[in-house]
Amino acid sequence: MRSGAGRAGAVALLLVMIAGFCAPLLTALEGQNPSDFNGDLVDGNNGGNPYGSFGGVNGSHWFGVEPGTGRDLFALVVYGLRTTILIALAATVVSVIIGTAVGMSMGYLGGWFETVLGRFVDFMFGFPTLLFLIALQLIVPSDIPKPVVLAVVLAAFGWVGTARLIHTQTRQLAAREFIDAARASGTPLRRVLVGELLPNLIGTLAVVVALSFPATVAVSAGLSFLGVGIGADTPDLGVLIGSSITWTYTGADAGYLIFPSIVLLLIVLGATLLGDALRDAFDVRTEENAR
Amino acid sequence: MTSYIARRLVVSLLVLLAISFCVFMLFYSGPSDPARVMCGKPCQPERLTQVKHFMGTDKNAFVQWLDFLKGLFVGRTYGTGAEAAHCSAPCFGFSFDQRQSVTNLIWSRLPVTASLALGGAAVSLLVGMTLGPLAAIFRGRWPDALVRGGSLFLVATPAYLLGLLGILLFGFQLNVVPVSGYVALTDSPVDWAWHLVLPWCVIGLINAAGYARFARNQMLDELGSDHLLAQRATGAPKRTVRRAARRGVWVPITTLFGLDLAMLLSGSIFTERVFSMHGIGDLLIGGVSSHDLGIVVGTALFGAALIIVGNLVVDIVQGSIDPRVRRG
Repeated sequence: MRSGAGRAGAVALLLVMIAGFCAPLLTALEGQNPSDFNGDLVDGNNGGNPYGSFGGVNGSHWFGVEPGTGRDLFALVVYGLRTTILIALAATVVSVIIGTAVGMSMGYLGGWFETVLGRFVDFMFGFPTLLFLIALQLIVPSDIPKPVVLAVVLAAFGWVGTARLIHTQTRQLAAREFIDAARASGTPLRRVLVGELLPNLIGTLAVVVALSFPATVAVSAGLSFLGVGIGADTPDLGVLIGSSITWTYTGADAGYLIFPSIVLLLIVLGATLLGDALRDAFDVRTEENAR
Repeated sequence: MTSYIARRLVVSLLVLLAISFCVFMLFYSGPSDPARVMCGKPCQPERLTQVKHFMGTDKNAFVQWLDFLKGLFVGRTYGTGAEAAHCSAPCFGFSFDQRQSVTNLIWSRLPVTASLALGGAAVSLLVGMTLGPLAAIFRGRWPDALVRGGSLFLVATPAYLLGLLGILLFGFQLNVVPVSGYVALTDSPVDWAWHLVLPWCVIGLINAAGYARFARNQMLDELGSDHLLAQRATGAPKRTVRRAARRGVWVPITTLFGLDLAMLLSGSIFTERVFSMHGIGDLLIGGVSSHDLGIVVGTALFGAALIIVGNLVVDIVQGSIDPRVRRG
């Protein structure tokens, strides 16, 4: 990979992911805990704003503390990062698997199967997904853990783009001679799909994963931001950013918004840069990059 | 053309029926009983039956769907006697919590969302159609790199982050624009626009990224096309050629614009939340947090209907411009 921007994106993404997965280790290193309330670090007479500059940043609280509760912001951010990444990763993996299966079978089998599924995919593509992601939160039973609910609904609506892209690619590949040869020599359907087609789709899949991951991160954090995703008691980047609105309006504690935002931006931008570079490298044509 | 429009119309109606059917099956046969929420605590069984009967949720989901469809065309009345609540056509459901028809609720929120969506869409079109072709003309040089880098950044950035950072910078640090709230256009046009400047920029810039990328690529295609090569060969000045190329970019952009506008109208949810504006997205979220199934189903179906109508309009406009679409 020769693109400098792509490489920078990959490094940023990797660092942030590692930070997320090592959340307990990092907070232990800092000597803090995301669930400890430190009432003595916030000014109760001043609306619960942290003492000290930039939200109370100092040697033992690297990102300062959360206004109101005094919980350590660095610990909240890295634990929140872990929640956000895990949900988005699970949703992306599931949606890419569904999308690939649907797209490949559509492109390879063709006929009425392709027509019917194609209509359905077109329909889902113009669907107000966000509205229904929000609406669905009302009817899911409350005894299913919220992260699981989020990952499932995000995957259920997220596979459409992948299916479209894989469909066109498969249709092009299916017309090539090596597929004809495999079919003519009596290779079973499953081996044609997995052994012949799939290896040729690896590049496209890499691009799809790299580009749908940041979109999933943004939506999953967005739902928590709106208060219909992860509950407010679990550390999550979206929840943190959502609860920082009140403090942003008064401009009292900018650090509370800025630290989680920067981390979220690093994941989203890093993955997008990586995906964009991969797209150029593998020469994949996505919707907006149609030429 | 007439048969094309008729065909598209029938398909759109079928899609709407299918969506509403699925939504009713999903939302009204699930374990979450809207009557139980309304009944209060403690909830006596006789009272629950009464409430269920009043709300119409004692019937099965399929019958409730038929009731909803009927309500859309002729309106419906919940309950009887002094307690009865009337919901006139088109009835998108009834919020028993607020004792108002969902249609009225949506209608009261529509100006906010429409102001956000129309202004934001206009900004995005303006910015995207200025910068995209510009990047194409300067292909490979710094204006191109700037537009491409900028649009990559904006495509990736979530709207709520851009909005909040905008508030922090322009609203608080520089203190130039108001950060929240909506003023009705009829109250004061100046205040209306002034409160919307920042939200418009946020929606506008995020959507402009897509337009700029698309317009750039389209413009490159146009500039490389045979008819413009012929025009250049006749010795036409650069400006004339560029103007002709720009005209070719507008056609596909209009399609994109129609779809985006419908998408925005059905809920600029994040922007509404960031700037504390009470539009349709806010209505939906309020419905979810107060467990008001009537509002949630009504708003979601209204949003879906808007998008499908938007698609229909785009298809018809495209069909009248380009005969090839009609046959497809």
